[in-house]
Amino acid sequence: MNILGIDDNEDILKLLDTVITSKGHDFVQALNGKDGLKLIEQQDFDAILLDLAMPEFSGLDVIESLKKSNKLKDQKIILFTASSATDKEIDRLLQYDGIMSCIRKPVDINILIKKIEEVAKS
Amino acid sequence: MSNSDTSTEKLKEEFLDLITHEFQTPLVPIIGFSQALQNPDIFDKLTEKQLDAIKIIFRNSNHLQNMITNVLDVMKLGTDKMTFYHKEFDINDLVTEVLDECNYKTNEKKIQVTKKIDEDLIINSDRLRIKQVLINLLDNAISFVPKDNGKIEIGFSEREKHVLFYVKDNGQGMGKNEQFDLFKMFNQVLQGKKRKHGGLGLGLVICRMIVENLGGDIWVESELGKGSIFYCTVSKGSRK
Repeated sequence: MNILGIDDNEDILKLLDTVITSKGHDFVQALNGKDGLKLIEQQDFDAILLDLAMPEFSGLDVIESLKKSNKLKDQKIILFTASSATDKEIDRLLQYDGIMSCIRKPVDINILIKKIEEVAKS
Repeated sequence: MSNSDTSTEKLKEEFLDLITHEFQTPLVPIIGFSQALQNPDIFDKLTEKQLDAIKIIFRNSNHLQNMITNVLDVMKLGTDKMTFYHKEFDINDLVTEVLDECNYKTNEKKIQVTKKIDEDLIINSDRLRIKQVLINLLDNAISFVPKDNGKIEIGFSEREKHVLFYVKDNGQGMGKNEQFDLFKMFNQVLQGKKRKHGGLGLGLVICRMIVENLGGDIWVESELGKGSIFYCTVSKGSRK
């Protein structure tokens, strides 16, 4: 499986890389929303972990851009957030085709990998 | 409220959101890597000494994360900034999810966990907040049951307009005096030198505030040496 992680925290990307590649999957990473968006436009991913609160170009900006270019529905995005986004806001995003699930940080790594594999196989 | 009051309130709210994000973020790699290091499928198998050390880091970083969440929640509840979002959901699914999330801790302490349910039950309430209450009650039970012989039972049942949850443990239990202040703010400080446990004592206060906001109540039945049963109710809400 080919998984993309978009997060502005390098240590979190390193953790995702460690856990995801230990399961035999490929992991591609982007340190900001703009680079993440470029990668989504260039490659197909089985699942995308998307941080919401990133400076300059946030996870929400990534979602809006994909919506505008009509590419959101082709993605399998898992929101991965430590923000205090309410359940209501998360539920609103989960209504979009292409946004599959939400994981709140910090997360048990076993639950993280289970969710990623579930979404990638869906 | 004047415009300047409103903007100050808004600033406070945004600052609280920023604190939540900034405090949680560094804990993600700390908790994540300290869990990953214990897994021989991810890292080389550690020696017993290394494993013990990493377990201590893992346990304490989880404890720190809980305290940060609790302090921020108390601030939000105290200023009415905590929002409640009602939607329909299945209680049975929720309890399964809660047990899944606590699985790591119950396995580590070799606790026998039993789930007792009536039947599937759909209610209209705040799923995330009820989950928070159940995890809090379960975490307490996990802390207080004896190592290697711990038993916890979690269940729920329908009670007219409410749903009743309970978490039963075979821990040391507590006397009447200790039960009295359990759900009160600053109970740890009020007990002064008599206090028996560490921590801020905010978990159960938050549970009370949440269930009261969800039209319910929380209480405990306990006897010293005989374990405890924590009960809480929430309104089932109106179904669509």
